[in-house]
Amino acid sequence: MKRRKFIQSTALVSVPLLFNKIPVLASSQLESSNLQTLANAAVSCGKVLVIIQMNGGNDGLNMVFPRDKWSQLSNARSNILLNESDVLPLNNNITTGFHPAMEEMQQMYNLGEIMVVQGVSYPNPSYSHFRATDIWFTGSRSDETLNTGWIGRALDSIYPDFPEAYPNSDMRDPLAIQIGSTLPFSLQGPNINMGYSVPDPDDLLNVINETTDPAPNTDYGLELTFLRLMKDQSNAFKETIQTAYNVPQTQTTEYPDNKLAEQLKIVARLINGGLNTPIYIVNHHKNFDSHEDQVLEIDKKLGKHAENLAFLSSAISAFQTDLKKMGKQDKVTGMTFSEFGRRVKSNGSFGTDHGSSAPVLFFGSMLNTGVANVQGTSQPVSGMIGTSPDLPDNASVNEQVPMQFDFRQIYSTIMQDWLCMTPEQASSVLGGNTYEKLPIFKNGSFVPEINDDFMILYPNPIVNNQINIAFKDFINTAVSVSIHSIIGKLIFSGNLFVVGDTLTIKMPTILAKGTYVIEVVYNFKKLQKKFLV
Amino acid sequence: MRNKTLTRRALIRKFFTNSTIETNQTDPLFEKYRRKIYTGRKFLADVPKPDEEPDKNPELQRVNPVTSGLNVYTGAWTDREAIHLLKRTGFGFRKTDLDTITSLSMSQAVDLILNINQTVPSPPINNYQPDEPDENNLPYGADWTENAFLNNEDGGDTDSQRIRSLKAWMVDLAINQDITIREKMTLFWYHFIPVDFDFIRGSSNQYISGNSARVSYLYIKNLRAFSNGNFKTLIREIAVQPAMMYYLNNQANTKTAPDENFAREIMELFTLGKGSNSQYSQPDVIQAAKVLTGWRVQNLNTANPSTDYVDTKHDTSDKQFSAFFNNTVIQSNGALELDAFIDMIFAKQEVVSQYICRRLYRFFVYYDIDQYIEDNVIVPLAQFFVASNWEILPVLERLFKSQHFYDMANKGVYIKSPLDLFIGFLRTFNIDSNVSDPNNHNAQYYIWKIINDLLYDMGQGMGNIPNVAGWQAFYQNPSFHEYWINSNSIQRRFAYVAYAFYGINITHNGLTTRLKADTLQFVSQFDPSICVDPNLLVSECIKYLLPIDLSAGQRDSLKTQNLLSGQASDYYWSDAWIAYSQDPTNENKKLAVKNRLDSLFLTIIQLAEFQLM
Repeated sequence: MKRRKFIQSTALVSVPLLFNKIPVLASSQLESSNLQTLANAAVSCGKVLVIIQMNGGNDGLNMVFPRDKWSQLSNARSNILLNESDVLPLNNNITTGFHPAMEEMQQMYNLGEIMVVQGVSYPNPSYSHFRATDIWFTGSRSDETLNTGWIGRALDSIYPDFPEAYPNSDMRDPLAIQIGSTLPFSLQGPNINMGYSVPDPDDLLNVINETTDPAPNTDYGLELTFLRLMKDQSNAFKETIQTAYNVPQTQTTEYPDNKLAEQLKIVARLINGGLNTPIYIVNHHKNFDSHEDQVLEIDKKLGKHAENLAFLSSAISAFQTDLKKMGKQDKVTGMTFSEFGRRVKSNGSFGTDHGSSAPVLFFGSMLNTGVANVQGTSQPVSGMIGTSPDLPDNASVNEQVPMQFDFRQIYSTIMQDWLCMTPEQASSVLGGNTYEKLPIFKNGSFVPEINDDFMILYPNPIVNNQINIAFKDFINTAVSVSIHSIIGKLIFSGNLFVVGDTLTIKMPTILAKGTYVIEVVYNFKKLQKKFLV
Repeated sequence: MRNKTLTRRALIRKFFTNSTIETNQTDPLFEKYRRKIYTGRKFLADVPKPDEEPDKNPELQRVNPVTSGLNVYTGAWTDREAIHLLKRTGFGFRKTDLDTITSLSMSQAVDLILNINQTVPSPPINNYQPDEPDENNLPYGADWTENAFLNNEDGGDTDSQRIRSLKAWMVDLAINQDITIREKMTLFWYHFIPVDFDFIRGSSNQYISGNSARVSYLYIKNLRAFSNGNFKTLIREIAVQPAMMYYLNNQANTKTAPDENFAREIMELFTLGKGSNSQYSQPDVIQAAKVLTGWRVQNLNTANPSTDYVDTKHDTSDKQFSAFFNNTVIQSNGALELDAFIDMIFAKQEVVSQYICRRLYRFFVYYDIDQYIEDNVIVPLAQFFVASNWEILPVLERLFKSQHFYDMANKGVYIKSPLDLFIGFLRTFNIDSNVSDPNNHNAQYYIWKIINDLLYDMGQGMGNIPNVAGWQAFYQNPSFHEYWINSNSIQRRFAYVAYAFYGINITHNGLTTRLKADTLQFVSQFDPSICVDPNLLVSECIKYLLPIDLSAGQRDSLKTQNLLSGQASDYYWSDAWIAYSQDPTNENKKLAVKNRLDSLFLTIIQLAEFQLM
């Protein structure tokens, strides 16, 4: 036999590409790689999306309250409705308020760090947990079934040839991280799940999700421990993850003591450590399926749902604080979702039944909030896209919160405006369909220059003797304000506190018709605007 | 490497075939985490505090110390014990196997498993025609095992195709094994008295180049015939098996140039071992080599090659052995000296029987033999082996019916070999490796070849023995089964199972076959009352896939995170299951349960516990 022939015939011939140092079958996992996709791929634009899943169907009406529909709410759900006065108001948003358990998120909203997208659902919604979850995971229509997840497809188009070609010098880190042991279906790609599940990096065990039994002190336990350690320690991603996890933080953040917060704390440490993973998924550890005892009968602002929201609010707030301390707030945004909302009308068990539309909340520092940013746009309320839900005066049993946006509009927006995918890629992930984007994220420069354009005065001419000023940033500080008439007469002078990004001045005396100049000193800069009365 | 005479080709081959195996010694993770504590098989009972009782796993409450021996097991005979028996005596198990033996008593079940059908399976065939025509013009689909190449240096390319055909055929037999121990016992003999196919192909014989696959096949065929046979007879047979003649070079052993290779290994590895009571000496090896001179493989280029005694090459001196062999002298007696030599070895019955019983124990039970187990299991089993006149079946029966075999101390402690892991996975999930066209032998064998490549990557390929001692996981102190695991192999073990779970497309010769676990099909084997209840379903899946039950808390968490998609109420799963079972062709309803089952199974098979049995 010729030597060349022999070498061809050895077992080596079958050893193909490497994944985690694992040779895999070239013929099996590799569908023909789409060169066009490869050429179009934006290999990571450095942004991170953190998805918080709230299992069970979240009652949006008991989270984001339509304050302008109180009588309709009372008619529909008096047995679970808290006192109107307990609702937390939101700056510049008179129609809407948060549940009193969400104080931290109220503050974030007022700082422009929350975006509420109202009425998110899809045509012909499913009221089955499983089916609805699969629809949200796969991005399918209500009447179609898909075998892959929307994030799995998105990652597959950004990072073609996973897992064969990864990790590599361009992407050393996992494409998606699930904190916990079960990889969600949303990460299922065409060939394989694109996710990597991270236990608590300190313990190498899924202690957070309670899915790892401690090994007993027996032969079985010794072998089990050996296998666990070998598995975890030899993973190609382990080193980058543990290295990232152990990068010290200059300023530490106190997290509340709950399991959602624990998960987000791990995510924060990995982000701090420079992991380039674009997708993190965490699960709210409590269930939102509140058919009964959603609220406490004796005090309706308390109860299971309130507890869930308090966990959510405190955990997200700590996470956002942490990101700001590490200076990564501009790289990270978060999104909460639940497979469906609940019905308008409550049931007799102090709960609510499966419904359809519900708000999706985004959090972070790169949201398209701020009065100055949304003035005159189709979504003029800062921090909210859509309107307070339209509710009937007397809701029937099957009355649903009306849909305002399709959840795939959100996916499309995330892919294009956050993960830097092209419109073609986004459309391809969503079955070739184009969904109109929503103004969720800030575009372009997000550090506005402080000049006369930094503040907007509206309306102009003013009405009701009130001056409204919106700054292009949330400044939350006292500014010195002076108002002169056009001929130079001082009308008003004083130090005023800017709540968030807006300053409202109710003039003590009725101003005569004419032209005035307002001057605001902020950050040692004098900003001027003319206005008419 | 024990072989002294290596051709250049053989050297190249050994280099390649061993390159992935010998990495354990230098793997820092392995060195760091391998087990270092051996204090005897004692299991302190974990005394539970009364208030934590509900979440405790009774299977972990092991009593101390091990007190079980070879008395017949009379304890509970549940699915768990039956699965333990099946996993240790076969490559994984199928649900139908479990149903079969749970309808029997323990004793009947063991009898059934040991009731080996000795019908010789259809031999490997010319599957390679579409890739490379047979150089003997053997037709596509024809048995090649008696088709000899007549001329020196003919048929080298075809022979390498046939070697691959043989390995694939062995994979097929493992996957499609019946309920009996035959395949695993064949592997026991093969790992214990091995030959490496590629090494034989590289041997220096004028006719080997076209005929090595055929002698390798004969070797395996012979081992198969001894899966329920007599150990002493087997040793006499392998001593003159052509494949062994080449592998350990007795083919080159002559009176003028003695080759001690086989003489040494037949004592050190195949019969006496190197234990403290095995005191044969180097002079014994020299004398044994003289006994073994003169045997030659003849007629290699005919349908039935055989090893014959050639008197002119035989050393006719008297062979004087040491005091260990009672100063035995084997006098010049031609071919019959071999029988006298084997009689002399087997006269050391205690040494031989204990050595073999330890090997059996480490292959079928666990590797850590402490003094108690030595005294109460190994020694009496060895005495029984001798009393049974070296018949293997009575020994296996005694072991598999013993209290000790079913002792909690022996459950879940065994790190699955790659064959246990991967073939077991394919079998348990009924993953079909048959191609749609039964006449497409080329595509069919290719699938088995791919599976063998995966096994090889994990450290245990059919026909590829790392060295004459076999796979070190079965014999090497101090870490034994842990030698299957290193930084590379552990990742492959998890990844390959996951790939086969998600689905591997294998395309060859115009056919694409998808190997994929069908989780709906898997659970459909269960009683409907189990499928509809997520708690029972999780428990059932754990019972099939993991050696030891999980805690109530972990079971609950597996249920909630997977079957319930995070929901709090069991009826969401039950509703979905009922909806699916009433309307099984509805894709939405089907996917609703299938997605959740996939998630559950994937989570379970990615647990470290799945690597144990």
